[in-house]
Order: sequence, then structure tokens, then C-alpha cells
Amino acid sequence: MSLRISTSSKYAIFISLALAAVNVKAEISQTQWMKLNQASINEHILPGYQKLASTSEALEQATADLCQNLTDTHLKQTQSRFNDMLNAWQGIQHVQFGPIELLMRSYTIQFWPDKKNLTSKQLNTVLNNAEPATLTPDYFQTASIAVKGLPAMERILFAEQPLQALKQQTFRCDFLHAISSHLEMQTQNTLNEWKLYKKEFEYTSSEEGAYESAQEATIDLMKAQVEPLEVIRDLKLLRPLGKTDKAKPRRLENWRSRNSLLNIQTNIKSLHHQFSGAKDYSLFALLSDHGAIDLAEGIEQQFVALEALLAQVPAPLSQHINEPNVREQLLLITQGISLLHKSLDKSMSTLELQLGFNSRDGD
Amino acid sequence: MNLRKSLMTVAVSTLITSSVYAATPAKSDIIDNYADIAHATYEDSLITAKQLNTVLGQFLAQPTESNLKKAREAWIAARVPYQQSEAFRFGNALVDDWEGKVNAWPLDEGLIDYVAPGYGSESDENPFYSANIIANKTLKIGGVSVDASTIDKKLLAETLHEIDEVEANVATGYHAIEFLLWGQDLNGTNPGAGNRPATDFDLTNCSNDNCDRRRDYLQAATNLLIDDLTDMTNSWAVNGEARKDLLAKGTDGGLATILTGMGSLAYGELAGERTKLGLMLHDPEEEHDCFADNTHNSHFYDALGIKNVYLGSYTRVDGSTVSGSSLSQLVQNTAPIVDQNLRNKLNETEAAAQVMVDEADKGNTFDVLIGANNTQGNQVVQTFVNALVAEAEAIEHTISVLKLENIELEGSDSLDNPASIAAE
Repeated sequence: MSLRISTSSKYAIFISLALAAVNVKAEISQTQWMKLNQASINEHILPGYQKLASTSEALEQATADLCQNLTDTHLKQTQSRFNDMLNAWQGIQHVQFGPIELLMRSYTIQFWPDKKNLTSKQLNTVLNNAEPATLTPDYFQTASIAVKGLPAMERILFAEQPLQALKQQTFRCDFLHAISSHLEMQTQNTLNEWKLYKKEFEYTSSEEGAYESAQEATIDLMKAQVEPLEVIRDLKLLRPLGKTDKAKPRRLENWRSRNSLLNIQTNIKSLHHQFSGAKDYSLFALLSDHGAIDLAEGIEQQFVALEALLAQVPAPLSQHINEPNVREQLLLITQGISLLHKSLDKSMSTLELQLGFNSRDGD
Repeated sequence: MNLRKSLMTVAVSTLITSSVYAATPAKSDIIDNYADIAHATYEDSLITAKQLNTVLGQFLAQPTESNLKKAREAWIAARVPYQQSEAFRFGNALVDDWEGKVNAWPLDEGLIDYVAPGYGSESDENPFYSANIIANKTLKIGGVSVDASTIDKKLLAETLHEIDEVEANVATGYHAIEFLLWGQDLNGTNPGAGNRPATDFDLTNCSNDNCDRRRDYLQAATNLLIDDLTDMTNSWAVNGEARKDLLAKGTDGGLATILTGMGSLAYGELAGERTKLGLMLHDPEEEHDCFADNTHNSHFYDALGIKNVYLGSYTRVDGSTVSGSSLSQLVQNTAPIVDQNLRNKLNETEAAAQVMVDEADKGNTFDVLIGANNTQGNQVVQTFVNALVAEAEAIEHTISVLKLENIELEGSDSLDNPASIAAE
């Protein structure tokens, strides 16, 4: 079977699904919403933050070692730990509520896209000034998000001659390590606070809790399920592809560390896991239990089809994005994402969940 | 969801008896009044842009500091109606597609004119980061050749604006003119705006070179702004395209458009992109009117524009009023608590914006307030963000009680659903 046939038949799946008629059988009880929330938290969110915290700790250790031994081996080791933490982040970045919202943590870990080149501008200022005070936790508490996250670390670790630059200025490695320490602390705190915050999901209704009902809590989880699809499509794919045939490889996320494609694959895989991966209960199971089994299975197939399409794209994306056939593949993927988004929207209206405005506006 | 559910119950029960209230306006009247306000707001933007052009003519004839000051004042006055028009941007695809020509932001000003060394010479995102079109009659960057020997409307609009598909290459509109009038604000997060000397436009005593080309640029950009505002004013006149598009959506589609525009501006754009991001980056250029330090006013009038469309009333620059049937009246008759709640939130936002205006009057402009160690200033800005977020929630309730969640807005790809907005 040729690529064209297989992709167009998958495309047909995307289309047929958005048109499927659905009737919800019975009202969903607060107990069922609670069951969905708890399964998602225990099997999806907490493991995600656990991985983020442990990879972050490993990166901090590698960075500390690197600053002691500026060798090629230590650099490669640190780059590899950076990739691990980035990957863990890509698997949980869709969750934008709860402890990750505090202290601008989400933006701190990754400020992107950086349309005004602020990471470069602000990071260069810090490195040129080389003030010892900018290595302290106090500084990081109020510092700009552009200098204290993964993009700033990536610029140092994947610069054109990273080792040479690190050897020329010891402050450069010290600052790299300071960022890493800050990230380790923030991700560890996020995990610890989530272990407490999960109690907010153990009630069907509450007067004083973060949510008045289990269903209201579900809305936060569903925002994490649905809204990131637009970000992936618009910022991670369409923006680098550009409107004309000339793509902009440097608009790809993490092009320096060559993670652009893996990031998207990880995002979709993680959203898929949130949808149907938890054993205890899932959105898939809830839809199936309420007469929307066709919709549930359709969405499942859309995820599988998208993952198959993504697996065929060559990496590193920044080197292939200008090839006409890759462009075509990516555009097909963006269409698949749009249709998946439509199906998930449909499942939200089927379950009578209103997600409300989201934060993605702008020009 | 308890609150929302109880609000819905109130809404549904009152809906049944709503016919007894004579004051319930027809939905079509609300939409007509909205379009009339849009027309008046854009016409005021056009009138004040023409006044700016007249003052600029006097400044270019006699490039003195006092005439430059008058030109800057005229620019600030021109922003007052324009910012109020931003409530029409989201939801009306024709406006959103056009908006980038007149109000694109943020910009890499090095494309246009000279910049200080701290600006840097290159950007990952933008090969034209420091192209300096005023100093260079020809350019060859990244395989793209530009003949800039004549600076005119065509060069700005068709060649330079968003050149190389980079959004930060803003060659036209209010912010390009702002940069030419003020220059870079080199005060960081300390008080003070851009301080370009009047002699940058003086042919006999020219500072910073190429004064002739700088004058050409200023005139071309202002004339272009007038052309674009003329188009948009006509578009909202009776039988204009934007008005026709709106009416074609039907009455519920029209109401969904109004609320979509309000919520999208309040939440993602104003609270998020233009305010919260600045608070997190502490960068003096992360403010909407960064050269003029006029962001407090821009934010204030954005918020006022949202209130205008909900209350169905706009006070024009000449002091007269355009008003008529409003969404507020409709909601008041179907769900009075929801209406009261939204009006409260609109007032709270206005009060929070007023605090930023008052701070600016004391010298604490937006870039000062967002400084890294200005805890008190950060809090003033955060209060404004919080008010906008609460306002967006109240708008969601309104969409919900009017049962507009599933209205498809045609003509806008990015608006699959008015209740989950992500405009391009």
C-alpha cells in the first residue's frame, strides 16, 4: 500500500467522524466525573510530573559535572539529559492548571515562541554582565522568563561551539547550572504540590475547595486534552511552514537540539494517553458508557492515524521542512489535527462541558 | 459549576416570562447598533488620523521641538478612538485580517531606522532585524533584494510590511509612526519614553543622517494609515462589507460575534499577550505603545471599547453619543444576575485600568510597573490582568445563558466555536 492511499484513507476516517451523530443516554453523575478526574491524575498527570522532576534532577547533576569537567563527553552527557527533560516536559506541558500555574512555572520552564528574540537579547545581557548576583535563587525568583528556562539552556548547550564558549567564560557554565538548579527546584515543587492538590479531586462537591463540583474539575482536565491541539498545529507546524512554499526552519520549536519533530510526536502521544490510556477510567470509557461509542472509537482511530503519519516524517525536521513532500506530509498532519480537534469539541458538547475562552489570542 | 448552573436556572426561568418586559430589545436592533458604533469608532479613528497628518505637516514644515511635541500629542489623541475599536477585531474576520496593517505589534524597529547598539544586530527569527530602510536605498538580505530608493506607500505596504513573512517586520501603522515620532525608549524599566530629537527631520540641520528619507517615511506611513482607516470606516457603513458579513451571520451569529470579540480581546489578547507576558518578561519593550510610553491609555481604551459594545453606547471624540439597543438590555431581561455580574466586572476592569493611568501620571508608566523588582508596580498590573480574567468568565456566562455556545462563526477559520477562541 502506497503512502498516498494509506494517508487518504486515514483522512477519510478524520472526515467521517466529525459528522457522526451522537446521543448521550443518561446524565453523568458527579461520582463518574470524579472517577474520570482521579484516573487521569493518578495515571497520567502525576507520572508526567514525576518524570519531569526526575529528568530535571538528572540534568542538574549532569550540568554540575560539566562545569567541573569541561570535556566533550560531559557536554554530550548534559545534552542528552537536556533532551530527556525536554521530552518529559513535552509529555506534560498540555496541563496548564494546578501547581504548574503558580509562580509562572509553566512559562519559566519554556518561554516559546520568542517572536521578539528576547531570549537571545536578555541572555546575552546577563552573560556579558556576569554579575555574581545573577547566579542566586533570589535573582531567579524575579528574573525574566526568557533567561531561566529550557530555551536559554538550549542556546548555551547547543550553540555553534558550545564547549569552546564554556571554556572561554566560566560564568557561562555557572549560569547554565543556575538555570538547571532553578528548574529542578520548580519541577520538584510542582510534583510535591500536586500530591497535595490531588485532594481537590476527591470530592463530588465542595464548598471551600478549588472546585465546586467534580464536573467543574473535569473542565480543567478537558482543557488540557483539547486546547493544546491548536498550539501544536498553529505554532509548532503552520508557523514554521509559512504561508508560501518557503519554510522557516528556525521557527521550529527546539530546532537547535533537533527535537522539533519528537516534541510533536510526544505531545500527540501524551494527549492520546490522556484520552484512553488510563486503566481505571478515561474520556474514552466515559463516552463509551454514555452512548457515544462511535465517537470514542473514532477519536481513538484519529490519534492512531496521526501517530502513524508523524512516524513517517523525516528528522531532523529543520533540515527537511523545505522538501515539498515533507511539506505535504506536515500539511496533512495539520488537517488531521484540526479534525481531531473538531471531534474532541464534539465530545465536549456531547458531555455538555463548556471549556470557555482560552488564552491563545494574538496576531 | 454550581454557580454557573444556578445562573442558568435563573436565566431559563426568567426566559419564560421575559415577554412581559417591554424593554427587551430585538436582537437585530442590538446588532444594528453595534455596527453603528463600529462605524462611528472607525470614523473617529480616521478623523483623528487626519488631524495627526495636519499637525505632522506643520512639524515637517518647521521641525522644532515644540512642533514635535504637538505631533506626539496628536498621535496619542488618535489612539483614543482606535483602541476602542479593538472590540470589533476578533469575531469579525474582515477586521482581524486588516488589523495587522494598522496596529501590528511588537515590531523589530531596526527594520525602519537607526537603533542603539544594545538592540543587537541579528535575530533568529528575522533576517531584516536591523535592515534600517531609512539609511539604505538598496538591500540584499538572505537572497531577497529590495529597491528602497523611493520611500512611498507602495514600498511600505507591499514590500516591507511583514517582509520575509516575519510578523515583527512592521513597516506600517500606528507603531511605525510612533517609533518615528519618539525613537527607541532607552530608559529600560526606569521612567522616561523615547527621546528622538526634532532635528532628525530637519533638512538644514539634520541629526542622525537621512532626514529626507525619514520625512518621506513618516508621511508615507501616515497617508497609508488614513487610507486603511478610510477602508474600514466604509466597510461599516450601510451596505459596507464588514456590516454585510455580520448581518449574514443571522441574529444569534451576530450576538455570538459581539461576545466573541469582547472575550477574545479581554482574555487572550489584552490580559495575556499584551499584559501578563510583559509582567513575566520584565522587558521594557513588552508594552504595547513602547516608544511613547502610552500603554496605560491603550489598555484603558481597549477595556472601554469592550464596555461600549456591551452597553451599546459610544461617546465620540466630539462629545456626541451613539447609542441604542444593547446586549446588556437583552441579558437583563433574560438573566438579570448575569447582566449585573458582567457590568460589575466591566467596571472593575475600568477601575483597575484607571489605576495604571493614575500611576503613569505620576511617572510610573507601564514599563516601570513591570520592572523585575517593582513588587508594588507588578501588583498594579496583575490586578488589571485578574480583572480581565474575571470579566472573560462573566462573558462566558453570558454566552451560556443566551445559548450561543454552538453558533458557528463563518468566515473565520480560527473561530471554530465562539466559546473556545483562538484567533490567528
